[in-house]
Formats: sequence, C-alpha cells, structure tokens
Amino acid sequence: MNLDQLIYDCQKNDSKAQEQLYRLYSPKLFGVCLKYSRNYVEAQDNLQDGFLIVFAKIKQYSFKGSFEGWIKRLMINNILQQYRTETFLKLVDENIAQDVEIEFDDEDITIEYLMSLIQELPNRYRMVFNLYVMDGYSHQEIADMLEISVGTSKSNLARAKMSLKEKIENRTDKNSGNNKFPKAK
Amino acid sequence: MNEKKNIERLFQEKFKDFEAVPNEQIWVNIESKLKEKKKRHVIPFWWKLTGVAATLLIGFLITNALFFTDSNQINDVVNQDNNVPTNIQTNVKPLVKPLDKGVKSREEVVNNEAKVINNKSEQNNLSKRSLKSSERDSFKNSDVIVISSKKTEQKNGLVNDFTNKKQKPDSKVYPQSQLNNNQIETANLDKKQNSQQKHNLTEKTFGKNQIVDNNLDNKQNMNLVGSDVEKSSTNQEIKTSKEEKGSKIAVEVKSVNAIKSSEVIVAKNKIQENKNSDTTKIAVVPNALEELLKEKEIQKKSEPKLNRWQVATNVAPIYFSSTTGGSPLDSKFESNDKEFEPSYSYGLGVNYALNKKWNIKTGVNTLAFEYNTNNVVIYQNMNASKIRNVKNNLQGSVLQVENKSATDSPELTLDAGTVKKFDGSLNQKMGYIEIPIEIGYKLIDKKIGVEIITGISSLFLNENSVSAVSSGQSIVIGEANNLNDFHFSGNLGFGFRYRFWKSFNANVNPMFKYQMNTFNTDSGNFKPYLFGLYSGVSYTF
Repeated sequence: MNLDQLIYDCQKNDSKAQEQLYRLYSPKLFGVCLKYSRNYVEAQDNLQDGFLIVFAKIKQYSFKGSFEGWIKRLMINNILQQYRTETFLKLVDENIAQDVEIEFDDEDITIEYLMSLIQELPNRYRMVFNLYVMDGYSHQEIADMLEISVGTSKSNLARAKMSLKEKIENRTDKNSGNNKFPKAK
Repeated sequence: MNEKKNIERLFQEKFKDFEAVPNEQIWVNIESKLKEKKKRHVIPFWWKLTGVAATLLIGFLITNALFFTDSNQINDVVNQDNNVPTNIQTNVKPLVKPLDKGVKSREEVVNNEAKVINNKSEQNNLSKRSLKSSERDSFKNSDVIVISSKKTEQKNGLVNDFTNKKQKPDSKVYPQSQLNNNQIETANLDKKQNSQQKHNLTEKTFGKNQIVDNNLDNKQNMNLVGSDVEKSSTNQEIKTSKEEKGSKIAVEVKSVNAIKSSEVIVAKNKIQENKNSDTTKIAVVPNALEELLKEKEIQKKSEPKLNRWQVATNVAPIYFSSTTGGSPLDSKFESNDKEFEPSYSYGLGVNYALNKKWNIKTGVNTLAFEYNTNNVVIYQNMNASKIRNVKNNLQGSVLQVENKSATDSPELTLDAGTVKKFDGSLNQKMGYIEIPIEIGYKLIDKKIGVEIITGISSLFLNENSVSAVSSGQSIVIGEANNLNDFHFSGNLGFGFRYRFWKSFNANVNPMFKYQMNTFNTDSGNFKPYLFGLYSGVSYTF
C-alpha cells in the first residue's frame, strides 16, 4: 500500500484508511507516548487524543517532508500541551555538568525499568530529556516548544540526567552509589 | 558486566526503535469518536445558522422596542419646545428690555436656563413629597426639560426678532405684559396649591386652567399690537381641544393623580404634563409666534429627513419564458416544446433619491436563464450535421440532434438499426451580469412603501452552453454562437417596501424584464422575457 495514497484517503475521511494508518503508526507512537507520559494509562490517553488530532489535521499535511516526522511531532506537541499547564519548580542551575557517566551492569537493566525511571521524572525534566536525548531536538527547539529559555532547557536536561543516574546507581550499587554522587566530569 | 557509560547513550541505545503495541480498545475509542465527529459535523452547521438568525431576530425586536419608545420621547420634547421658548420669552422680555439687543438674547438664554432649572427644582421638591415612583418620573422629566432648554437656545434668536418686531411699535406693551406675567405667576401658585390640595380633582383643575388660560390669552391678545384675532382664536380653539384631550387622559390615570399634581408626570401622562405647564406657565404664548415657530420647525425637520442613499441586497427567483415559440438554436426545433427552468438572480443595488418621489436605482446582479427543448433524439454520428446556431465542441461534433417528430415521420434509414438513438432534450444555458438603471416613483411612502419602477438593464454574457440531456445524463455539446455579448432588457415592475426597523427595509419587487437583441443574427423567432420576484433588505442613509 502506497503511503501517500493512504494519507490521501485519510484526508478524505475514509475510515478504512484511517484504521490502516493507525495500525501502521500506533506502535511507534505509543512508544513515544510512553516515554513522554507519566504512566501507562496516561500514555494510552495521549495516544488516543493524539490520533484524533492527527485525523483532524491530516488535511493540512502537504506531502512535504517525512510523514512519520510530521505525525510524531503532532503527537509530541499534544503531549507537551497536556503537561504544559501543570506547574513545576523553576530550577535555574546552569552549572551542572553536561555529561554524566555511570557505572552499571548492562544486562541488569531492562527497558521497562528505564521507562519507569523516565516516567517518574518531573514533567519538565521528562519532556526535555525525551526531546533532547531520545528525539534529537536541539535546546533551541526545545526552548521554543516548551516556551522556556535555552538555559532552562539545558539545566532541566542536566537535572534529569542527574536524577536518572542517581536512581540507576541506587539500584545497581546501593552502597557505592551515594558515595560517588555527584560525579561530574 | 560492569561498564562506564554515558547516560544519554544508555537511553538512546535502549530506546532505539522502541515500539509498543497499544491496547486494541484504543482504536475502538478513536473509531467511535471519529464517527461521532462525522455525524456532529452536520448539526453544528445548522445550529450556527439558526443561532445567527435567532440573534438577529432578538436583536431586531429589542432595538425595535427601544426605538419606538425613543421616538415617543423625542416627540414630546418637540412639543414642549414649542411652548417653552415662547413662554420664557414673554416672561423675560420686559426685564431685559433696556439692554443691548445682542446681549439681550444671551441674557435671555441664561434666564431661560435659570427658569428651566427653577422648574426642575420646583418639580423635584414637589416630587420628593410624592411617591417613590414619581421621583423616577421627575428624573425623566428633568431630562426632558434639559433637552428642551438646549433647543430653546437655538430658537431664541428667532423668537426674539419676531417679538421685537411685533412689540416695537408700542412700548407700553411691556409693563402690561409684565403685569400679566406676574398675574400668571400668582395664578400658577394658586393653581399649584389647589392641585396639591385637590389631587383627585384634576378635571376641576383643568377647568380652572382653561379659564386662566383663556383669560390670559385674551389679555395677551389685547396687548399685542397687530396680533391676528382670527389666529389667536383658532389657537385658542386648538388649546381647548388639547386640554380636553389632556383631561381625558387625566381621567384615565386618576390613580396617579398625586404625581400629576406635582407636575412630574411623564410616561403615559406626557400630554397631561404638557398641558400642566402649558396652562399654568406657558399660557401667555403669543399665538402667531407659535404658529410660525411650528412651521419653521416642520421645515427644519422634514428637510434632513430625506435620506438619499439606499443600498440593497436582493435575491430573486427568475421565471424565464418566451413570448413566441421559436427556437434560437435551429429553426428545426421551432415546433418543439420548450420547458423553461426557474433560476435565481442575486445582486446588490444602490438607490439615490432625487426628491421625495423620484429615485434612481442601479446595481449589479447575476442572472441565468435556462430552458430545455424537449422531444429531440440524440445519436452518435461521425458526420453529424451541426445545429445551426451552436458552435460544437469535440463531443458535440459527433452527436446528431434531431427533432423527434421530424425523424419519426420518414422511415428510419437502415443505419438506424445499428445506431442507438436516445430520446432527450437540448438544454441551453445563458448567464449574464446585469446592470440595471431604473427610476422609481413612489406612490406610498410610509412605513409601507409602494413604487413603480421602470428602466433598462445592460446584460453582459458570462455563461453560454448547450447540452444534450438524455435520461438524466447531460453532455455539453457546445455553445450558442448567436448570442450577443451585450444586450439590453426593458424593465417594468413594482417595488413594495416595509420598514421593519429604523433605516432598514424589507423589499419585494416583482419585475418584468423584456429582453431586447439577445441574439445577434437569427433569433429563430425567439423572444425571451423574464419575470423575477426580487426580494431583499435595504438600508437607507
């Protein structure tokens, strides 16, 4: 099935095409939702809302650029919208180290565990971490999307990484984890 | 195996190509919401429209109601105007006599205002004593008076000149009139006391007023040099009749007599209130002056009332037909039955009123004619003979269209067996941009208006097609080549108008438009005309 044709049919509100599109993209986008949401249930809600937005806006897609990029961006934007309204502490600490290294047992860490760590992060940290690390947005882009400053974005990222590191180390080596912290390079 | 790793890389590697299959229930939810949306789409569209319509309707009703109450109040102010300036004039005149004329009028204005304020305060004082409701009334009343005092300023000049002229010849008049005024004032006081004491006997009060009034009028007449006896007498008559009216109303509103006596009656009792002030304070009106003032005012009022410009929208169902049975397409279709399709015309119009009766109209309309020539047969023929006045397109060039009755009578040729012939009709469409230039003559011009409209329209061809229609299918076979790009129509009709709000009118104009030189060469004895019911809304300014 030609993707362009499928999109075209979706633009015409063809329900079969809509289902096909959903089947095609929902696993990938649900992955995105899981990363950006606080838990599984919210991820489901976000996926559902996101797809409704996709189908409502698919007419605006002009077949320029990657469709996957477009649909993912829509999905992320929707989630950002969901969590933007919530308040979070404004932490401005730009002196935190950018690279955080940890020692861990590779085989010991499952993706489910890492996912749970991400979901436990405060909203803003989670957003910045996902956008920067997982989806490759620049700090400038993140700053625009979240309506924060670049400095805040960097600071949030550093905080997120510190938090993640702490948690991983606490799990893998509870004895040494606290002693080593904070280890910056 | 322990290893040092950058935390970013850890997550990036782990989540590379991370996917998760969501619960099937989510798609079910999305699907149901999508369907719901599709259904919902239709309803809000109508809801919006009805919402707009309802808002407009309510808006019209409210503003309508407001407007009409407004107009009543304005009328009252005007009535009072007539009396107040003259009243004050006579009261003040003697006092300022020695002063320079230019100063005089100003002084008078000031005095007038003072007088008016006095009136106000008097009324307020009185009203304080009366019921709460009357307080509200008095408030309104004072508003009215303030307005009238403003108007008084404007008119004083006129009054001044006139009284000067009238009274100059005999300067003795002044002291006498002053005396009169004094008398009047005392009479007023008496009357007021009376009315306060005898709230319920307004009719009686009116009787008194009448007497006072008459007396005063007589005196005034005697004082005025060269005043017209006839005029004054007629005025008197008018006054008495007014008073009768007033007293009638007084009977109706006995329940609020208390308020009435304190001279703060507004609302229903406006006339009554006028009378009170008329008879008590304004009784000394010089009649000739009053009349002149009235005349002038009427002139002033009526002149700016002619709103010359009017813009209108219109939409019209068009019934198109021909006075004769010919066919503009080809003479072979002359005997065929023609079926004229109703169509619509939309447009904007501008009216300019030359005077009260005549106006010029122009505008822009779109207009489309459409008719079918029935009873034709259509079949494919590579060597199709073309319809005389049709410029065929590619499809049309291989379609033969014949009059059915003509082809029926001779034996069908052999190839008729091989070529399938279809019964059908020929459909011709003509679309125009119409620019009418018409004049209207108003027969009735009130809330409802009727006018005769006649004129010509210039029509510019913008759509031209001929189609072969058979069993619901339509194929454009070309366009008529005998249509003029530009032609005229002669228009005649009536305009009916109903003013539903302030400057807004609803219009219905049945118009007959006879088309002239629609066709450049061979019209095939086809003389089209149209009848349209142009209806819409117009706004005058």
